[in-house]
Amino acid sequence: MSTHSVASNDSGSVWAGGKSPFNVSYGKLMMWIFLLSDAFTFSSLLVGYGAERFSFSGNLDTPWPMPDMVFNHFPFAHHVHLPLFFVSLMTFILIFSSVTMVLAVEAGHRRAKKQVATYMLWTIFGGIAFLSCQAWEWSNFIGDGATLDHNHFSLTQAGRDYAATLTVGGHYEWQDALHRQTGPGVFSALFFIVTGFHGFHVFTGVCLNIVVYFNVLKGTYEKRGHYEMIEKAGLYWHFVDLVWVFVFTFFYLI
Amino acid sequence: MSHSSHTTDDTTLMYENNQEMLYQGESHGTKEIWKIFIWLTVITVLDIILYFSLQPTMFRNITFVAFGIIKAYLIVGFFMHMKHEHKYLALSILVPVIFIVGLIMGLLYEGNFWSTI
Repeated sequence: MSTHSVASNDSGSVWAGGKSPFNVSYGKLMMWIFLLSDAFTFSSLLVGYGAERFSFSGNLDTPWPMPDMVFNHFPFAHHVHLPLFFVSLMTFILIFSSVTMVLAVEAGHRRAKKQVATYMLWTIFGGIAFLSCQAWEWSNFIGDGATLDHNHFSLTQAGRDYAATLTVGGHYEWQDALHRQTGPGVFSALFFIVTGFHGFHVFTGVCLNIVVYFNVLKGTYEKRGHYEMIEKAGLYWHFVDLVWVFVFTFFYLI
Repeated sequence: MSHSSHTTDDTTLMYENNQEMLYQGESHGTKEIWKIFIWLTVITVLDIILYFSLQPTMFRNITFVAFGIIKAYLIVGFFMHMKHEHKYLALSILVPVIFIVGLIMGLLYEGNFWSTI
């Protein structure tokens, strides 16, 4: 049996062994290091998006598609110009599921098994709701004619004039031959890859949370004497929320 | 410390043997959680208001990025408890983020170059 973390030897520096210099368990430290590497992956994708987009600034022949003219759908509101509404809803769903996750961690500190289970279940529901919204968003994007390397969302001069007349909540109708033209393929490629990679992380998080949820019900952590696993799953879940903050900023707001 | 839990969960022993000693599971209450939630909501609502009330300019974009960084600070600092972790753990995770700043500067420079060819 390892006695690595038992602080029996107080002589020597923190790094001499016998105690944890960061005062943190192996699992939590490794989760942090994994999240750091994942942050590099996501920032590469997002910064790559920024560079591609920046390279189209001032290009009027094939301009970068305007996000509020592409992502302006809302369920049950056909041809109503509602930019940002749906994705804001998704953002609030994810922020709220982060809150229920941190409430589960707090309940774990008090070893309140029933509350941990309830909050974990809410977090799982939040994740599933977010994934459903993303599926809807994707199906609209694909239904509008986007593929992995093709889209026709670049506006022509007539399209830009028409876009300037649209009001939020008003009716719109694209005349594709007149208003829109083939846009940079990299626009839809990056949309699918970045939101898809993020959605894959959300899906993984939901699976992790379901495993943790059943372990809570089974009493695994009660037997173990602490609910640290909730904290580790929580770190991952908050990271997914953190990434969405930047996807929201770069893909939809800017 | 650990002789009571030998019979169950062999994998638990492999990964987490005596590490409950390192786990300070004390509750700080839920007040702070709701406060951070309200801040995140307020900033996101401000994002939406600015989006509809300002023309797309560099100033608006910088504001959005600044708001994103504030939200990241709130999530990492409070929801992920980074503020309560050991100082050197926080530095080990946060300092390498400087590489991302380098990537941003490099690739924006490249993007600017691509637009000229």
